[in-house]
Amino acid sequence: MAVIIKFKGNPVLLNIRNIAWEYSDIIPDFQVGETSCVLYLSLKYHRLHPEYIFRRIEELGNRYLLRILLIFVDVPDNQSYIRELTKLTMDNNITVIVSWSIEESGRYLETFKSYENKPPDLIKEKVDNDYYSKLTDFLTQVKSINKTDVLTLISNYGTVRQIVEASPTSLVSCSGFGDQKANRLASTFREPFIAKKKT
Amino acid sequence: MTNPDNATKLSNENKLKIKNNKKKQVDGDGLVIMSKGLGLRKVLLAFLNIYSHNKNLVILLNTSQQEIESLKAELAIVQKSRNGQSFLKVINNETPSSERHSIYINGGMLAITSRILVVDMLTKVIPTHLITGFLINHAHTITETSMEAFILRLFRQENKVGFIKAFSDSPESFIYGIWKLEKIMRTLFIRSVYFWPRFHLAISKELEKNRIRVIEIRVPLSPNMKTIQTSLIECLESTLLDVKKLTNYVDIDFNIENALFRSFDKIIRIQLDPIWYNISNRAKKVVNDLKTIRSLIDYLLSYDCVAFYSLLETILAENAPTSIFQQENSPWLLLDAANTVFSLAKNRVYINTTDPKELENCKVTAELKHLMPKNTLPILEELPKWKILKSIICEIFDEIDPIKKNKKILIMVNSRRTSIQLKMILSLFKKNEINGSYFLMNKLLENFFKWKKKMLYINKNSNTSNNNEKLNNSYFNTQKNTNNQKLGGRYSTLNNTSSSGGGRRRVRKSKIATNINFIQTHISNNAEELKMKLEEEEQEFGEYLPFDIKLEDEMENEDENIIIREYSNTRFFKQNTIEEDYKLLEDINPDYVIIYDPNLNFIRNLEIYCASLKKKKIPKVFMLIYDNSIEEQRYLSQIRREKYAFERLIREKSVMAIPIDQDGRIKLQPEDDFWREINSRIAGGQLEKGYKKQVIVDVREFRCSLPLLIHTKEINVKPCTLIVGDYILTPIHCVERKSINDLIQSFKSGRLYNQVESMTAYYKQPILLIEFNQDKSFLLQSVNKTDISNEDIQSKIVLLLLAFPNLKILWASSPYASSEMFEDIKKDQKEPDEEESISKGSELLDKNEKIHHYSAQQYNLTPQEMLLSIPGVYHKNYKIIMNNVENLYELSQMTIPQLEKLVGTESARLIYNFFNSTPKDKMN
Repeated sequence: MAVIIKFKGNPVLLNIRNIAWEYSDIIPDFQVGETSCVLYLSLKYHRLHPEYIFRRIEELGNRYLLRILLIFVDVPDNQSYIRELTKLTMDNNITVIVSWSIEESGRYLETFKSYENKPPDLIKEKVDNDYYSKLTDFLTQVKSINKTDVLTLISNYGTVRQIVEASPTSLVSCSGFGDQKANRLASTFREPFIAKKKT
Repeated sequence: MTNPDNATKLSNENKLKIKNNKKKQVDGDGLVIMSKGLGLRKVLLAFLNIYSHNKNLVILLNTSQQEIESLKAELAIVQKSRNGQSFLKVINNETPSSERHSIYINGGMLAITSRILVVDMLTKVIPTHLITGFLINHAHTITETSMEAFILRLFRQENKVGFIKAFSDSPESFIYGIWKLEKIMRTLFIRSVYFWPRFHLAISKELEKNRIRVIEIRVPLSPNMKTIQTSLIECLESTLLDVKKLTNYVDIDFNIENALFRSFDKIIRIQLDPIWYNISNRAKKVVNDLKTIRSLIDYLLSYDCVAFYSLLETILAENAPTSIFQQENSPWLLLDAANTVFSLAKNRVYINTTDPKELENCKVTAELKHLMPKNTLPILEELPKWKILKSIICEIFDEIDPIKKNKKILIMVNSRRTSIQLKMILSLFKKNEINGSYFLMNKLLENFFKWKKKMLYINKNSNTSNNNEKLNNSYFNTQKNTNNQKLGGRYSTLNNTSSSGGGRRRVRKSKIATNINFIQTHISNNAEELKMKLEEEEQEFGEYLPFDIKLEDEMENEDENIIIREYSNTRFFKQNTIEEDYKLLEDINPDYVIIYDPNLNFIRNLEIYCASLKKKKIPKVFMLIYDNSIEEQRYLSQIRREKYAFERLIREKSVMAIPIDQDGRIKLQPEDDFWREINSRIAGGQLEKGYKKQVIVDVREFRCSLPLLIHTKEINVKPCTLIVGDYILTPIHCVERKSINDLIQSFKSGRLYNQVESMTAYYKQPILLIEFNQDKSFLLQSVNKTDISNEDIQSKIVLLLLAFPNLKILWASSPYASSEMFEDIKKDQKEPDEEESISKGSELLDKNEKIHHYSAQQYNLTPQEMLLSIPGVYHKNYKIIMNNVENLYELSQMTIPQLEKLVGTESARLIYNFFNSTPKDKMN
């Protein structure tokens, strides 16, 4: 990763531990990929020198495809600054990322560089077929069903089909199921997918 | 409004109906706060009755579907007697929008779902200026950003004449927080508040006239129960301390009395919410444990001993190292007190003994004998209240004149479960079984052992515990004889049973280690114990339920003499007739009432009922309450808290300063109008001109408060059904809003990727709005690990941006901030076009779904989410399923060939297996 020379001594550099970096003669603060760059701004600094970031953005011009403004929030009452910076960057095709600690800032920089060529599979739909985690996901979607209840249900009924078929009266006999919980679960299984038409 | 209203209420106490007051209809505003059980519903019903006339258009808000149904039914009865014109009409998501307009125009009394009303007000389907007024139920749930607040704001903007009346029977809710009463009144545009506590002079005078005599029977707890209760409280105390230690932020009155109430969880959550994303998993777990322990204290008093023990077993299994959930142990399980709870709970069910004499003497049913492990002696302790109940009934039977047998005994319980339990006991009791519960308890234990067997399959590696990953083998030493170890009594009882199975015992040095180990041992031990039997007889899964005892026939034939009912405020079952406690009493007209579980609401209803009986004979009332129990303490402090709440509210009212224009009715002077024209900061609620700007909002977004806040920025909100995006700000700016929980969820499910993908395809500037909660911290989960982790939310944001460099992110600390940013973006931009926004993305749907008209459909959220977590269901096929299958129940009944037609071979197999395989299959 390339870092602009004047960043020497900036504490954020101490928090970049997982990747190698070097000083280099670049226009943005950090170059984290062939087409991506990061500008770094601490709000404390911004409060003292509000004109600084304008200048930097101007210098940056239209270079790079992915342009990030990494804001380090180190002052209270920060929403107005974030709002103002959001407006500014929106007009200049820059994306804002907010971080709340110096470690987090460092982590963002590291991650951008190390994920540079990573495909987005991680955030795409996943095919995870572990039975219990799926089962837990499935049942805990219903409000107030917790993991203990998942165990209770599967151990008492044996199959998901049996759970789905169970009547509220039958569910109530499972330990840990009150009237409300039993009723809620049973009615969710019978709630139609399609809400009756509204429009 | 004061006088007629008072009269209404008192007449209600008197059961004189409200005929006298009908002429004095009141158009005033007001908030009424009553004690629980003093007939708030009756008051509401009276108002509904007054206004259900075609010349009015009165809207009832914030009322649940079930409540509406029961109100409707009751209203129909009242109105039939006077050839009523129009009953309560209901508008919910099943009412087509085309019909809604004509319903509004026809007027009458309407109960409407808030979300639908907001949309209709914004799209001017409802003639707001013609609304006569609003009745708002459960006023304590209204907040400044709730849908109801939005509705009232829109209402007051156009209509200065209509009334707003609000009702609440939860005085306690008004004393949490700072000046909550004042805030709610401001939100409701209400200037006057009326209190009707139980100690109000008029009320208590009315009720004293025909006082009920309650025979209170204090039932002592069994010694085991007493110790378990004490130990559970000890666990609760220590967990409370843990919470305090782990979070540092919580500032609550940490006494046990508070912790016994459900509202305590809420208070803790409110305090922790601002830092919820920042506290450790361990702390979260501990906070949840509080809830678990508290419910255990409840169950101790209401569950039979077998059910209680099996619940404990399940909790243990969840926390075991071999658990299917790999998670941290709950710290309270490692306490000595927890040890006591577990061993005593087990001792209430059965003990292990090697004494042949005892074993021979124990009488059990044949089936149970077959199932019981060796050297087990069933104890099967009964709940103390059962015995007392039986003797009360005996006493009553003796008292009843044999000629006039038609005396009714009403037994009130607080849950369906208890009601089934008592029905079984009483039906056996009536069959002249002296020891009525003997058969029942044996059956229960029988089912318990069957259940334990099934539980075995669920333990991930119960038969492969040797290669347990979590517990490193190095610190185990196999010892055959562990009786000399300093383990608790429970541990040694376990050893007795295990010696027959020759199981491995693992012992560690430190106390906590021993305890963790205990969980492991406890489970694997039982596993070994039962496995042998298991191999002999293969049982089918799902055949036995803990309570599935074939007594149904007798139970259905409900006894004419003994009637068991649940309290209306704890009952949640949709039954054919949802009855209020009061109506129940009126209908049944009992001669004896046994209050099996103490319930304040019911006792108040009983008081009113008795007062209404005049000179007729009032029923004899028995109340069973466990002596020195949590039940007793909770009942008493409930009364105390309500009284305190009222006293505080009355004080608060006396010093409250209410602005004269709080009701929003006063039109400002023309002069003021002039000043407001040039002032950019216009207070909400008075501007009558249409706003120039507009934002197109997806109708599903009306669940959150952002549309309301956009509206306060003088931007018109246009509700539409959008396929792409949640908010369309300008022709090029499209926003997807995500709260933090949503964000985490939709990163996980991959939905966000799809959403951003389609936004990028249709709009020049896709925007992701990450909206934090007002009351929660403006912080993402902190990164504290040293390595870059795929699981961190930060890493996922980076990946998303690398995939979509054009995506912009808005970071909003609250919905207020979101609305401000929207305003910024809209500056100097063109207004978005409705038609265009709706049509965008419809090709996308066509491609995936083939049939066009599905695009406008709404799906129910929870079933949809559940469907998506089934293996074999993906974003590309879930809509096909939803459009062709009615519900999850139907899906579970489908065969592979049926599923194949919809989703193809591979998915069909996965879906079918998910529903039909047992944990046993999963093990192989």
